[in-house]
Formats: sequence, structure tokens, C-alpha cells
Amino acid sequence: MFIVENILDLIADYGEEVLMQLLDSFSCPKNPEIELFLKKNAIPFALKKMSVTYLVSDSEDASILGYFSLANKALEIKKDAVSNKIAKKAERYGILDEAEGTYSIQAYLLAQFGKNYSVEEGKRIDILGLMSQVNMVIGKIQHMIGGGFIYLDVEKTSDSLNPALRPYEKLVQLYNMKAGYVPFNERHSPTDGKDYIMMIKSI
Amino acid sequence: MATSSIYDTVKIKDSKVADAFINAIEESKRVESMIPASAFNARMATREDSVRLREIRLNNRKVVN
Repeated sequence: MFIVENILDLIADYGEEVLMQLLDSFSCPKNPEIELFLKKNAIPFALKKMSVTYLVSDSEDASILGYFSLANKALEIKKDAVSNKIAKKAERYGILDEAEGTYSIQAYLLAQFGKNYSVEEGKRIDILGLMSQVNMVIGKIQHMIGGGFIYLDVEKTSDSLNPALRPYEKLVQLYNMKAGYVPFNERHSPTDGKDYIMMIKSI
Repeated sequence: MATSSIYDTVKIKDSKVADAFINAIEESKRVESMIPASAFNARMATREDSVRLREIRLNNRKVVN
């Protein structure tokens, strides 16, 4: 059995200092940013309401198996960029700001998502298991306040030994085939200088 | 996923991308998600869960210290 806990509740129950010590048990050597986010950003971001992190734990021994972070995301589409054929569809999903000439579409952002590799191998949660917890939490939020889309970025990582390998493609395929996310473009982030595949899912 | 996703704004100005975005929304409606939460035996923490997990974690800390 998995238990999903909101980090804001954990801050209230443990205090920031003790909670930070508990989060120190999390390790993700495959992607240091995932580990760094949980240890450095998850608490302050939640307190500032920039994103809220959810810990997924084992109900028996309380070990942290993984986590994910959710936020709000506004996507803007220039009205002029939408072809006549697509315009009617765009109106179904976004609110048109006549003054700005843009459709504004609100989405849930799946900002971070990772499993804890410090847990022994047989006990680790798999990606689909973790994704199912994301669906559960977003389903509850959607039930309370509405909303129709989940957005996520997949980093375009490369294999340093073999640049022709594209490990991210497997992830894109997995999110598409198993979770229903559809890639629609790529972007370059001015914040971290990395490239990402942009994916969207209607819920 | 990335921390930068929280900061960066997404503005679609290119017509090909705009059409691809709307088509992606339409397509995702047709893709059946194969991972219902119910299949993984999970739940949001109840107050009782939180109290029990906290006790286990704090006891584990004492043992380590």
C-alpha cells in the first residue's frame, strides 16, 4: 500500500528542520536535479505556493519511495498562429483575450517526478506506479476546482559516450503509450539552458 | 520534468506549433491511460496515516542517532 502525503501537511507536522532531515534519505543519481529539487526547493516552493510536492511512501515502514510536484501553468497561443481549421477547436479549450490576441489555456504542470534509489531495489516504485499517484491527486484537484489538461516537459538528455543515443525518447514513448501524454513541440529554457520535449494530456 | 518549467512561460506564436498543440489535445483524449490509481493500491494520507507514519519515522531517527 502506498500513502501519498502533501508536503504542506508534513511541514506542519514535523517542522521544516526535521522534514529536511527526512528528505535527506532521498537519492536519485540518474538525475541529480530531481534530488536537488526535493532537498532544496520543495519546502520553500510549497510555502510560497509556487508548486506543491507530494511524497509517496510505503505504508508499512514509512520509507519515501518517490515524489512528484504539481503547479499551475498558463499556456498562451497567439490567435494569429492558429489556422482557421483549428480556430474553432482552440476556442473549446482556451479563453480568448481580444486585447492581447491570445488564447489562454490553464493546465496543471507536472513539474517534478522521481523515485528514490536509496530504497532497496525490490521495493522501489516504478514510473507507472508513481504516475498513477499523480493521476489520483490531479483527479481530486480536478473534482474540486475543474481544469482539463496536464502539461509536462521531458529533458532532452544525451548519452555522453554515444551522442546518437537519445535516452529521453524512451521516456516520451512511455508517457505517450502508457499515460496518454502527447508531444507537440520542443523548447529551449532560458532559465537553465536545457532543451525539452513539451507534452500535453487532456483529462 | 524540470524546475525551469515552473518559471518559464509557454507562449506559442508559431502556427505549426499552435496546430500541433491543439491536435495533441484532441489526440490525448483518444489515448486511454493504462495506469489507473486503483491498480496500484494507493490512497491520500488520512490523519491516522500521518500520525502513524510520523511515529515510525521519528522512531527510526532515534535509532539512527
